Amino acid sequence: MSDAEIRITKLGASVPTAADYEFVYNSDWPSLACAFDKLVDVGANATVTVDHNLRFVPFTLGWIIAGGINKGRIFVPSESFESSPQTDVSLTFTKNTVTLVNSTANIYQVCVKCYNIDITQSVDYTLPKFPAVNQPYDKSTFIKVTKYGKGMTSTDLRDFILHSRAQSPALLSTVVGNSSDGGIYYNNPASYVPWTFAFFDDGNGNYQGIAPGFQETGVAFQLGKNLSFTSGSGTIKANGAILDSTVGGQNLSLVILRDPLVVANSVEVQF
Amino acid sequence: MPPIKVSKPNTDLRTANGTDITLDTVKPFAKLDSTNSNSFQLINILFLHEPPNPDGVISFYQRTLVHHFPHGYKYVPSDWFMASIDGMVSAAGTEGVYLTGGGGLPLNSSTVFIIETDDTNVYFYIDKYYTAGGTVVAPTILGFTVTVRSYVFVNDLLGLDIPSQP
Repeated sequence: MSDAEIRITKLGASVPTAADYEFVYNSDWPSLACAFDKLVDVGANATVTVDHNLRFVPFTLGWIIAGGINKGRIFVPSESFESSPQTDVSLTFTKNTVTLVNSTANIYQVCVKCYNIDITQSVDYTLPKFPAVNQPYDKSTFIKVTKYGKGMTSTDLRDFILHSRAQSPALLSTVVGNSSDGGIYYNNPASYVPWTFAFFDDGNGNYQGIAPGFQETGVAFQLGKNLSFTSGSGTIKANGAILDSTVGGQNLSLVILRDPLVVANSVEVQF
Repeated sequence: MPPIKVSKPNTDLRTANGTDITLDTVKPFAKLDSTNSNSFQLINILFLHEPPNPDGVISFYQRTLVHHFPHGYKYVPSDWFMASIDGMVSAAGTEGVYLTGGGGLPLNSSTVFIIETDDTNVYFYIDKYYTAGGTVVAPTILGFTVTVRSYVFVNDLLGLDIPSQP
């Protein structure tokens, strides 16, 4: 068994007593890390299958790119986006492969990234304590791990596996279930809407991601406060996320991530 | 050099995989630069003016840039957006959100909020679709507020993270 961990605090804080946001790095939090990625050319009406060979069903995202422009991540068609680049290509993934199907005559590139989260395994972590004000970056206390062949003094954060100047979204919870047993949900202990990703399969381990918002019949993903849905003979209320399906036998998965432990830049725009 | 791995508490590193491993130095983290104020933002866009409609005679589609910001990189970064039209009480979509219209196709009056990214900026657009005729009313979003929670990662979409080691 492993009881090893790596914890580094900012100057002036002590490991046993530091608030969560005072850690430069804490290996107790499973942060989002890339386990596989590939840039794939997807021609007109083409089907492309890529092997990731991770042997678990990874949290997988695909960005659709046309003419060097990122058009957004790929989701299954909903009523909102039946004709956008985000739904021209479908992305299905299993524990070994990612399959892209272009249903149009357009030519795209798709960047596929598989992360180190098994979306079929339930886990739950405590919501860490966020800072009230932004903490300045402390250059004197850090942890860095570079990619092979890259220098420790590089100023390009892409050169690093881990760099304490950067924060990663960390896993709060993975909720799994089957549509035959009713929908699944996540209640957020904090008062904000957490960043949540929803996935469902076809009953045979072929998963797709679905965006929040108004949906067509079948699978529905709601993300917000004061949600409710009918499960069996009861009504379930949730403050966070609900994933439900009218199709039986589908495996469902919600992946909930916490925000980085920094304060967001707030911007007001008037058009 | 062999990788450094740390598994979550009470988990055997020799059999752990996926989420059980909290640090593996061959798997680069998704990184938000804490010194780049545009990496993590909450953006409220209030529409005090109506983005123009297509005329519904010759043109049926009109795109208007309503906001953009430099992401701070010289490549196309990976990004996530969560958009809301009720002040983040609920999420209405991601990089695209219907503000008006929707329903079945073909749409004869609709407004869509669209987010795209190139190697310099993140762009927020309003796409309008309008096919005049009969009793169709041109789309309007005057008074709407769209809230966007925005992550722009260090990680590159066209240059990859893996393999990080030979």
